[in-house]
Amino acid sequence: MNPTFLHSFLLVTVLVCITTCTDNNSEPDNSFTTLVWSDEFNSGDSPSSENWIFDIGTGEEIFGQPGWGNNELQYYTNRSENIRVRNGMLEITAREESFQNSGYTSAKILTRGLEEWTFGRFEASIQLPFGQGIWPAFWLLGDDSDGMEIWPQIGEIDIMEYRGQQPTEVHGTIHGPGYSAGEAITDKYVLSSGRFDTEFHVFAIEWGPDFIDFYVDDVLYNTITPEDVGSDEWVFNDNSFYIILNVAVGGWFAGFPNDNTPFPQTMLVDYVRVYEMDN
Amino acid sequence: MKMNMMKNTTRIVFTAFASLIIFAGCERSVSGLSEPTLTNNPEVFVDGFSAGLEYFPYTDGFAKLDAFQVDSDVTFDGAGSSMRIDVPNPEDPTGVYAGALFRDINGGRDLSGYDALTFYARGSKAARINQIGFGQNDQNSNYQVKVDSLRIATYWQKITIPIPNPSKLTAESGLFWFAENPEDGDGYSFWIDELKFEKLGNIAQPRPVINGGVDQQIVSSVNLTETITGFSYTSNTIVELPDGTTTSRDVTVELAPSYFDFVSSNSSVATVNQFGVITMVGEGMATITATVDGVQAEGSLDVTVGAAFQTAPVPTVDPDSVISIFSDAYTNVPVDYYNGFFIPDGQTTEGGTGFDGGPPGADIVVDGDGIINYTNLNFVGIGTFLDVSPIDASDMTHLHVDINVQEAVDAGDFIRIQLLNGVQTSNETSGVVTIDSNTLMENEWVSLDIPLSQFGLVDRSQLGLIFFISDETVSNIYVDNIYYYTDGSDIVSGPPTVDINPAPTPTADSDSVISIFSDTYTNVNVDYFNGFFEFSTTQGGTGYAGGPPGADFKIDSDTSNGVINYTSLNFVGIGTFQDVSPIDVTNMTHIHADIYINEALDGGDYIDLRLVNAVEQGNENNGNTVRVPTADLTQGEWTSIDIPLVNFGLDAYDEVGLIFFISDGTISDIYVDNVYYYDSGEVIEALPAPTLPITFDDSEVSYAATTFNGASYEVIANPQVSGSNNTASNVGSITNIGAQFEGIYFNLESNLDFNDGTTITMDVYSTTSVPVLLKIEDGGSNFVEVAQTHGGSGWEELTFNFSSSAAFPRVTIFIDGPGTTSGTFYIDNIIQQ
Repeated sequence: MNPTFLHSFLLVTVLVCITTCTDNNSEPDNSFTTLVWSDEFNSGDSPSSENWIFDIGTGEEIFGQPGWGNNELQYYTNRSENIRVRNGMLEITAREESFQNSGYTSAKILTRGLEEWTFGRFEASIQLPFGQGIWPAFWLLGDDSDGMEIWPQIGEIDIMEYRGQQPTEVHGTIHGPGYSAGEAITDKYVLSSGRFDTEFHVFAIEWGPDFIDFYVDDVLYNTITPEDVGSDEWVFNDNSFYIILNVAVGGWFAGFPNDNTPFPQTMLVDYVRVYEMDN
Repeated sequence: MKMNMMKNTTRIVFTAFASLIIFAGCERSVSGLSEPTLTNNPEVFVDGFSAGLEYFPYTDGFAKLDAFQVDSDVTFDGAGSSMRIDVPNPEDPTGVYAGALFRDINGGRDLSGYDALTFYARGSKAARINQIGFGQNDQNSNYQVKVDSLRIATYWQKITIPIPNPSKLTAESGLFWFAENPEDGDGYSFWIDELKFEKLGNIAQPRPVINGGVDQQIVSSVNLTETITGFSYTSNTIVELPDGTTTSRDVTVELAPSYFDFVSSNSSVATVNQFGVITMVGEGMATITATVDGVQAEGSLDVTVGAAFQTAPVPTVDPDSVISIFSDAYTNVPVDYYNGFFIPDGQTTEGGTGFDGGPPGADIVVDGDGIINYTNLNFVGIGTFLDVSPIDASDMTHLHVDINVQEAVDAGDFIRIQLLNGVQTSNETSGVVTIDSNTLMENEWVSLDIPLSQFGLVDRSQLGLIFFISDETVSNIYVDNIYYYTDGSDIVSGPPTVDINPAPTPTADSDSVISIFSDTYTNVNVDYFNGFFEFSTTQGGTGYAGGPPGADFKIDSDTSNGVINYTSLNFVGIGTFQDVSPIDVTNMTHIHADIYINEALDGGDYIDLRLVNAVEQGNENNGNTVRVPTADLTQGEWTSIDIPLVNFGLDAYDEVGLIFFISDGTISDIYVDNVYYYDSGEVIEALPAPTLPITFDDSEVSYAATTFNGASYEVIANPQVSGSNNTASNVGSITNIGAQFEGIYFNLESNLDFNDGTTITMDVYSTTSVPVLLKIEDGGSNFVEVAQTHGGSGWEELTFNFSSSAAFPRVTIFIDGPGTTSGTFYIDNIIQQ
């Protein structure tokens, strides 16, 4: 999730990526077999407070700008209308309604301060929502050492980002110092059949020292290494990262909803699992 | 022209694919299987006609039959051929649009395994194809899908039309259809290639809609039906862009109702079938909703069902004796329309337009009984003269129609039925019969069996229009069972008749008569027997086709005897001043008229007569009104009236141009016969006008007065011998209707000269206190007037003091001139002191 700038430059980095990614699609040597943390969303009515905290509001409290700095339109709440656990699923629902001066409501949960990791396999099984201007994400953000460090120095790994109007495409991206926002390192995965908004798909990274592999349904579609960031600093070998799940409405990445965007829109999460890297 | 999708098609077999038809035979089922298995061949036109496909251009007379060509020059993939459609220019004599369906003639295909019809399209210019889709064929289009206004470009683009619910398409023969008008007024060409059904697997986010997405509440009745409309279906398709990225696009189609599964929340109140037709089966409430493949549709109908609708009585006349226009009991003749929408003529009437799938003209169907519902009725015509044969009702005796008025029936309401024969020919004739408020019923069926003779049509072999005319008096009616029939009686050809006794045959010597309307004498020419003046409500005097002028009926027992029938009478004039010579009756002594009262009489009823000389000339002269009071009239009988012409008080009798009959609505339905002037041989001196004192008692003086603004006047015996007028003698009686400035005046034999005295006294009888104004004037702008207040105690003598030395010939009296007091007042003993 780009907290500040211009995804209109995304195309540039895509092209950069295409030239480099193809070299790195070799089968990784590392394995991630030990489950160390998971939420299967099989009990309770709301996300477990042992696993998750809520981000309430527009994102201003973290990044100092409303709309997460992306011109997003939603107000995040912890109401059951926006987030609940039901039928073994986490449901995050974006709604069109006036709430706290915003035109839309949704929800965002984080493991920040509860569980944070360095390296591992992070995976989630998700059925995505649909519609112009809907922007769900499953992502990791680096710890800011109680405010001692700031984005993008802390590092960001977007395991899955998606535009509701492109229901067969997802994007995997990293942000760090010198390669953030419009210059982030990114690639996309396009389904050859089916759609992300009609069925569950598993989105994952396998992350170890000096590499991050991006998967959709166990298909490796991108590997990012320090080579890809060139002379810029690789910030993914030391810091600990926490998981974020959210559905944004509007913003530079997905554009804005229009009259044809059906509301409400719900992201269904069957599970989130973290495996540690085998030694 | 906004084209309609016409399902009439013609089959054009291309020799180029005749071999494919033979090939199609190979795909038929193996013999021995009880049910042939339909092919699931997805190809419609990939590089040529697929097996079983045929081209059927629309045969509505507007589509260009040869708009379609197989084109091997312009193809999507450079192989085989494409479909080229040449949209004609608007003035093209071979057709003004391109429209066709492509049907599988081998019994259809099983398309349930696919989720879209796809094809590549391009145009010779960027355009919008008006309508395009699949699921349309000659037999039924239960699964029709249509995209409106499909954009195409000048390069090949892939088009995807989703199948809303593929499981329904197990035997679909309508594989493709389109209809396209010229673009911006010009013809052009477009190409279709790689036309096939596909299983894309990425069509999602279905958003079905019924009733336009509206949750609507309607009120209905048991046995009525309502038809759901407003069906659409939006789904999301994936579009691959040339740069390898993808996006998605919502595609909205209009679809046939059978794609939906309809549900009634209460099937004991309302049921709904696969065509979205709701049938009300019991009183109560029910909600109708629908799903497509399990997805809830937006929109619903809440029906509140009331007690059963009453249908018209089922006709019992033998079908062999009937020519039916609109009835479920008979086979109807072809009709151009049940509502001609004569908008330029001021028609406001709606209805008679039927609904999709219903019987022609029926706006409502109850238990299989179609009913026309005319609303905003002023007049409406049912036509049988444009594209269908006019109706020959020569052998019929009656017109039957059932009418149910859907509102309160007020006095004065009517529905006039008019038949037109030979519409838009030089022999066009018409006749009317008026159904009045006594016959019409609110919320009840009234069965009318009208003898055709009453319409007075000499020829009814070319009936082309039936009009229902209410002039807005009745606005909402149900109509059913419109048919001509014969009851087996002799056909009465010729005039309409009325069953009353004839008027007495005139006895005056024809040499001493100037006849206006009589079968005994030769009548002079008249302009009209009903001038239809402004504010006149009077009908009649219009005669019937082929009959003598003015005669609305012949007498049943004497069909040589014509009579006028004035109805809705308030006043009516017979004119002889426009295109004919005014009548010189200087040598006549009387006017005669026979009047038959066709209704019950009340005490205040009357018929007034008035003559006008020199109509519309500088010396036009109205004269006096001469009253025939209630006492002289009898219900159901002829009254012969003979009035000395001098009583009309005209200045001259040499150019009489109008005879008025006036009832002011007190009598509404009369027959009139034998209107003529005659010379009785007597010498009748006109009685002189009065001079003051006016006592109403001098038999040698005419006390005729002229009334205005509603007042009426007569001379009667003093009914209240008391007070200031304690003598039994004649008095003047003035009746006010309650209008402002109503009153009467006397034209005096000689001027009233105030030099002979400036005080005038008058006895006035009133039981309410009213102002009484006495005005002495020349009839022009010169006058003097004095008002006095009457105390309302009965007979009072009022004294009017004029400070004037003028001399004027007219005395005008207003009882409560500025006010609106109604009632009868008496005057007597107008004396100059």
